[in-house]
Amino acid sequence: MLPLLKAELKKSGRRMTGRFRAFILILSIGTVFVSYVSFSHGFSSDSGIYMSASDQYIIQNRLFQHYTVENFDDGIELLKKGEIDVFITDSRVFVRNNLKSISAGEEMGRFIETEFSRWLYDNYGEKAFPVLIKAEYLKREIQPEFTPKPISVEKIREIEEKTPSKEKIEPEKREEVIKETIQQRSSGEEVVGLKREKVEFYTPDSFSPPSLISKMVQAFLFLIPSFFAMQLFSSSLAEDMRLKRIEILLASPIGNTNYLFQKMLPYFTLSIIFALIPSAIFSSAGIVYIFPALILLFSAQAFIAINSRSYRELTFLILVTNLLVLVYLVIPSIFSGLPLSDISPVTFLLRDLANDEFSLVDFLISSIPLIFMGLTFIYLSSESMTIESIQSYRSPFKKFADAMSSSAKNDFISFVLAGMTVFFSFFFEFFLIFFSLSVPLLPSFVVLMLGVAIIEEFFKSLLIYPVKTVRRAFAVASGFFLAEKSLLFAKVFSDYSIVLPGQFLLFPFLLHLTASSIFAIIARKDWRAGYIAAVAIHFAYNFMAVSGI
Amino acid sequence: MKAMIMKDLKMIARERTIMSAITILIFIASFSSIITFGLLVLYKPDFIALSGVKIGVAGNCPVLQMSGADVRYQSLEEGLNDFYSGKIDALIYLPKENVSSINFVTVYLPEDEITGIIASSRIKEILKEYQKRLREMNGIPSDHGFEFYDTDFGRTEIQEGSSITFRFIYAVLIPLLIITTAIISGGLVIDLMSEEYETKTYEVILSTPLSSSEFISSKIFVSLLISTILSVIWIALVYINVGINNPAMILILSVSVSMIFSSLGSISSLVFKDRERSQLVFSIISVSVVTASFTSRSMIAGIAGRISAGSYFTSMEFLAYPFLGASLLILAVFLSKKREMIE
Repeated sequence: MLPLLKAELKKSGRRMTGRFRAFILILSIGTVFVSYVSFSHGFSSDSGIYMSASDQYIIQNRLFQHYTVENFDDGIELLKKGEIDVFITDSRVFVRNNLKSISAGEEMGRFIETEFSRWLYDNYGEKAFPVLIKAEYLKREIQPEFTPKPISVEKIREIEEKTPSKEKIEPEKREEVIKETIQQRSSGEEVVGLKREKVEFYTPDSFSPPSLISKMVQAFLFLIPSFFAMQLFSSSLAEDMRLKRIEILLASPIGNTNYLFQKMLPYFTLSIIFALIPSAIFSSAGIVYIFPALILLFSAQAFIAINSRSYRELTFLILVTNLLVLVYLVIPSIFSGLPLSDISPVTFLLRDLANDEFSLVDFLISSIPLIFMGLTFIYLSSESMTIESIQSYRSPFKKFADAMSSSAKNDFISFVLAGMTVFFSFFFEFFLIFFSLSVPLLPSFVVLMLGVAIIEEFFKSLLIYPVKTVRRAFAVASGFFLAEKSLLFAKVFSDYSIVLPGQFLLFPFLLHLTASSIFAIIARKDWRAGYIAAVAIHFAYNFMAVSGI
Repeated sequence: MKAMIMKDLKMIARERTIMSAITILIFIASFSSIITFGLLVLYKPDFIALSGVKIGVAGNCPVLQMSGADVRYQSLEEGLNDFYSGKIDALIYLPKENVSSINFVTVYLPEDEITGIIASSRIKEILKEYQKRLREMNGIPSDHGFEFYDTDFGRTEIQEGSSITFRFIYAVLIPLLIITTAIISGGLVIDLMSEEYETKTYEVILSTPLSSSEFISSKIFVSLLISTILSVIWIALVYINVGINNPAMILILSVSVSMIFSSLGSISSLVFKDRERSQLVFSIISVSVVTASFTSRSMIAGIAGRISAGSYFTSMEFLAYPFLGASLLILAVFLSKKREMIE
């Protein structure tokens, strides 16, 4: 029934001999062991990164390489020369005016605070920690009203019931919270814990906004093993291309999509199994959150493997793609607490692991772009599996453009494809937004507006280019506009529109229509001029809309 | 051998493969500031505060109400009404204060709002002040008494957030750039070798005066040349942006780590001959090396962090990597000779 699948398994079986499989198993066990030991040991590449000195104290902290000096003058001399970063004497801490020394001073301050808390606990016990905090996060929708309606008594009671009191909390728990404060966190905390306990109380010193950063390592445990399955898949597919097996297969009645499906299935199943293991360990539905990412990664790798000109190119392009997708998946969780973090399904995985509540609808919305991009890649991979494309020496980027253009066979397909490209635009615009955070406000604003125009007009132009008619421009502009507006119904994407001017209805449609039509008309003579004109119009609109002109 | 090196370099240049590699490194380098920004938001939320946040306190708690809150309420209901209508950004609730015992304070913060993160920073300050007052009322020392001074003996304030940035750049980012360059180098050598094996050109090469050890040396040389170019680029970028101590040593370290990965890659390719298995074995080994790199101060990340930050390190810690790289390189060449003899 699935002849290619059988052939793939047979080929793997021949190559992956019993000895090789045993070797891989031993190697994998070794890697899991090393990784476990490493994660349990904790992150310590910053050990000894600061240098401290004192004529009175001995600093025992992982971050400091400590020296004892004879007297005050020697310490100050060393500090001035830059041979140490911080000098501590009596109740004075001396620092230089540079980033390293100030950072060392900050860590020294933290160390002193912890030591002081420990001293307080040893001498006064629980009494020295008279404040314990519990944080409750409440969802609110602020409506601009002159006389806001008071909230119901039931709601007040419901919120009040969650209020802790001394009677409700066991003494052991209180002690645990206080000990948490006096422990030196920097001395190697457990990074990969199997516990799914939620921290409920804090002292004022340990209180901080909720963070998913400590859970980020766990996200990698769900994702990284699947990369091995993907690597085998892309290697096998690339080998079919390099050894020209694909040309024989193309001459057979097996369709392109069917070929891709049968080729991908065993490796995709393997990656599912890999993701199921941490799901079982952490008693989480992790596989559900990872599934959309796997679809995107596998389909992107399929496209790259089919269109790369050599193994070198394959390796590098896959590295870039994996890195981009990983960043898109993992980085938003750093900003947990902000709506933008909901853009990635991995944030929901981490929330699940942290036992936080979240909306299933929000998770599904975060998965949509990944699934649609994955489906588009599958479609384009299938479209680019032609003898001409395989034998041509054009770069994968040009082949992507070729596949997009050749797929736009009529106005309806162009309309649908334009809708699909919105997800690619959002994907790249995500990087633009994050990139703009690292440059000063005004240039970042211009870069953002220009970047959005370049990305969106690029995708639309690809679909208009084959026929260059105003009718096609209308179909593409409508498809793009409708998909864009549909996405803005989701809260996370509507937050995007605060940065990207997408909150209006009529004007964006007119913008897309004008820019696309201008491209269609000018591109008849010179596509570059058409593209520049479309980008200029789009940029001017974005700039004016955001500036409020 | 020179012809072989030139051939590979020409192919890399023609496909602009190196551009993808440079993209990866620039990408990692530029995203450091974004991650740093995220960390700063978490650890020092007022970093992003454009305007002040309003904090309310509710309950029968006179000392807490005097500890720096903006609005005071008698009941939770009043406070929550103002919270939900947006008049305040967060609410601290303590039903009944007991100055001589533990006080359980509930903090109400807005979910999924940037103000929640900023407000938590102010709440922390208010509650620290409250803790200090309660300690004083109970005769417990409330302050450790240490003060910060500059080298001119003037009092100075230490702003929070600089250490997380510093540690991230030197103990995470720079080691990551070294390791990424090395992985690129190892992957490249596998591709260069397996392409020759799979397309059977290796046998043709062996029929020429070129030996298998020269073949493997030329492939490793190309990958090390690429890794040197990449290292120079990212070291220059980091140097310009944030500054880096001992750049020459970091370059040597980066090339040495690349030598380790390239040698491992070439051994893997030499043994398995096809890309699929060679890359798989190399990737699994790389995962263990990368995870282990961050666990001890003498591992790659630890030593790279201290060298680039201008901190203390021993020459033995530094020299271990060039030595290990050279040893693995010799092993790879030796294995290729042995393999040629067997074949």
